[in-house]
Amino acid sequence: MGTRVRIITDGVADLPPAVAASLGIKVVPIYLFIEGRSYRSDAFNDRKLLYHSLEGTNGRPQTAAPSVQEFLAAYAELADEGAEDIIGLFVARGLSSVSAQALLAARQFERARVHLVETGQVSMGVGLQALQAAELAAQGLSAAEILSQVEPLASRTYLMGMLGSLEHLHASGRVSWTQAWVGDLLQIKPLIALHEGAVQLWGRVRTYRNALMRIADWVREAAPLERLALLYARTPLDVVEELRVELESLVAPDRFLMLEAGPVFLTHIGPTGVGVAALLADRPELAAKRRW
Amino acid sequence: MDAVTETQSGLDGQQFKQMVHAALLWLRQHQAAINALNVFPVPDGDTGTNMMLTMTSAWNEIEYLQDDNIGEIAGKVAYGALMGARGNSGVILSQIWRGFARGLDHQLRMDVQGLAEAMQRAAETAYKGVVKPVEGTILTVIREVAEEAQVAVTQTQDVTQMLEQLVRRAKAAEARTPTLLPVLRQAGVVDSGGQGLVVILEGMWRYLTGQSIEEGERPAQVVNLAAVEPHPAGYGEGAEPEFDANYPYDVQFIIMGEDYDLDVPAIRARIEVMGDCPLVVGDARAVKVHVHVADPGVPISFGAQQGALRDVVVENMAQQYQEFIAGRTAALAPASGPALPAILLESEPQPISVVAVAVGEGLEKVFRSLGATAVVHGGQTMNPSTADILEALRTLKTEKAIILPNNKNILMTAQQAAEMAEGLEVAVVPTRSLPQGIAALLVLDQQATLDGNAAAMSRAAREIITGEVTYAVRDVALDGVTVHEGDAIGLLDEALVVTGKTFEEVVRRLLEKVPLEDRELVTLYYGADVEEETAKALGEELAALYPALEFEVIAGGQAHYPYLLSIE
Repeated sequence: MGTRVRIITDGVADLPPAVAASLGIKVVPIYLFIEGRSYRSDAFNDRKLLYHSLEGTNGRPQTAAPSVQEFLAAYAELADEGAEDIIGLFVARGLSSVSAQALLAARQFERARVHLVETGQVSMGVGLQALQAAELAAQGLSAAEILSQVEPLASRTYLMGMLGSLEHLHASGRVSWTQAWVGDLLQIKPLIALHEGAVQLWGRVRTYRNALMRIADWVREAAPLERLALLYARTPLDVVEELRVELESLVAPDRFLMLEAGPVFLTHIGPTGVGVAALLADRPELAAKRRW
Repeated sequence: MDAVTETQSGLDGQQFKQMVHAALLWLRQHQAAINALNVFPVPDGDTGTNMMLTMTSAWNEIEYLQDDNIGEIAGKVAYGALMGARGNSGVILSQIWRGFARGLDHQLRMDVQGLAEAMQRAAETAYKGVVKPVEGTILTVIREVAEEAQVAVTQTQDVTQMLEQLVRRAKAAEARTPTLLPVLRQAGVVDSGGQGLVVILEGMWRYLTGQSIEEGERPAQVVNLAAVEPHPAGYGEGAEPEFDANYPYDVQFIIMGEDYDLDVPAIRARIEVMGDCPLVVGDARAVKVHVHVADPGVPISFGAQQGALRDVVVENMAQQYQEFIAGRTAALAPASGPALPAILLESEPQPISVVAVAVGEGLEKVFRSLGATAVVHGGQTMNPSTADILEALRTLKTEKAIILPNNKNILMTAQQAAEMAEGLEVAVVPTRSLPQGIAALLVLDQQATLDGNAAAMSRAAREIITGEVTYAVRDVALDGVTVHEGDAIGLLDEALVVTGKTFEEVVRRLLEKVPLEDRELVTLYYGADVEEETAKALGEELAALYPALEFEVIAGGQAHYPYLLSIE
């Protein structure tokens, strides 16, 4: 690939390998520890393998960021391919040490300029921003031009979903709020939102049907959309299908992705959830209408 | 007892006080007979008991008063009835007393003109208290009594004679209630609330004529109970308040009377006829007005004529509803674009409190765990009074509150408490069962407006199906279901659908009657008299029987209802 600006992300972004490859996006895998064994996240691109490995465990593998050396190696690979500028979009700084490692490596790297952009996201919230950046790079824009368009994306990217339970999120230690609002007597499925690095509860439901309604309503109100991804994780397939039908007309077909969330997402969010990552169109005049 | 001798200018306050006492005693005598008219065979808040408790509260206000001034005494009766109102019939009765007292405002004595005016105002106020008045109820009885009073006042100068004429008309009106309300005709009964009013008027008249109202006196057989047959499911007493789309504007303002010259009752009287949910409180210097109207200009220009206006707020409730559906509130717009709802931390002050009426330790806990600030104890067989709910509202630290009555017979009491809660903006979400209340509470959004929340919570409540399993309190045959006293029976959204030998069998048969496609979750709240093991075993059995459904078994701790089901 002759592009002088290249995009790099990490395994948390959940980008399907074929999609990443077609746009020349470099993916640095992260690490999972399951029952004392260490795996690279890209070993689980086939999700069946992941679920198989998790069987008989508590379902919450530990995760670890790639080392500075690995980032240096990844940058070097891109430089070898002719990159003069590298734009890195990684999992939200506040939620993981991946960005910190990538930054340390960037400071030591001299063969190309490395620019890091804060995504405030995980999973396809990162992935959608990386796709957007790669498309601009493919158009031959300069690094400065790309950065000026990519840096504002975090403010328009949302991850909205229903958790199968709160258990995984609590165990992950990534959120500080209490269970009080969700209650502990009835089985409640919390609706959570991630935006600019902050995880928030925005509703509580007892059934998939209500969750789908709430999520689809949110997406309809947030439209127009630049890109949309439907995420699921061991979720009943009829639920996923129903949500797809609700959503697919809201965004151009080539801007819509549907995928099973990856190991990191699953670790922190837990199975049986469903949600969307949405990159809203740049329409400042609609900002008031898009309030949450 | 001797007949009361009327002085030249009518009855005084002390005579009226004794009439009220007589009405209460006479009502107590007839309480069981009136309860029996509430023939739907479930353990429920009974009309006779509710009206008796409402009258008891009225009597407690005046029992020790030595006033001769009838206007004063009637005002206290109205206040006591208002605070003690229980059940829909009690609320309408309290409105009748409120109007009656207003008709006697500033009067020292009550002559026939006074009685005619009081009855007229009583009827008007009772109708205004209900958004959709239903004929064939206590409303019809008070209206016909008021009409009769306008005729009688031209025929006699004697209050006792006039009251006798009113009692006759009340009985005639009551006897015709089945011709006006199909549900009564079908069941072959007269309206229970109307019957309560007949008894009250009769008690007052008996006092004036010196007839006994002592305990043990054989109650007058007004209704042939042998002819009483059950009426179909879904019938609540009286009419119920509902959101009225005809009055989409919520108007609030404060009128400032610079010269201490505001006439609060006059302002209230004008505002009350302008729309729905009126609230007028204050004194000669400042009056707070709140009303739902079709045209916001009407109350505002009227207010401006009375004094300087302050804090004028006009809200389009229909629009708020739309906004809520979209999940948006203006306060959340950040400069940078769309914002997320704030996380609700325990320590964070929440702008809206929720008062839920609930019965059963487990169910009360569920309401608290989901964020209800106060739980008023009460429900199926013991309806809380207006004062009970008001007391809970007064403990709140917020300026906005939502009441979840969780029972069809507590809706109006909740509405009344909401209107009386001064300095507090209160919305009633008309939840008709405990499962509906839980479904409503789940969608509470502290970021949305009060009215927006009320609309969304009402919608959520309607989405679930409530199942109730209890025992029949009498023999009935309705909707093709024949039950005998003591049988286990099952209701779906207030309709009797199945009967069985055991409560568990009824739960199984209830589920057979529910259209279960699109349903995912059944929550089984088991009552105080059910063993945990029995309930758990039933849950497991059902889960095996319906693999597509999830079953959750929760200790509700409620009395009288071994099982409550929430099907969603």
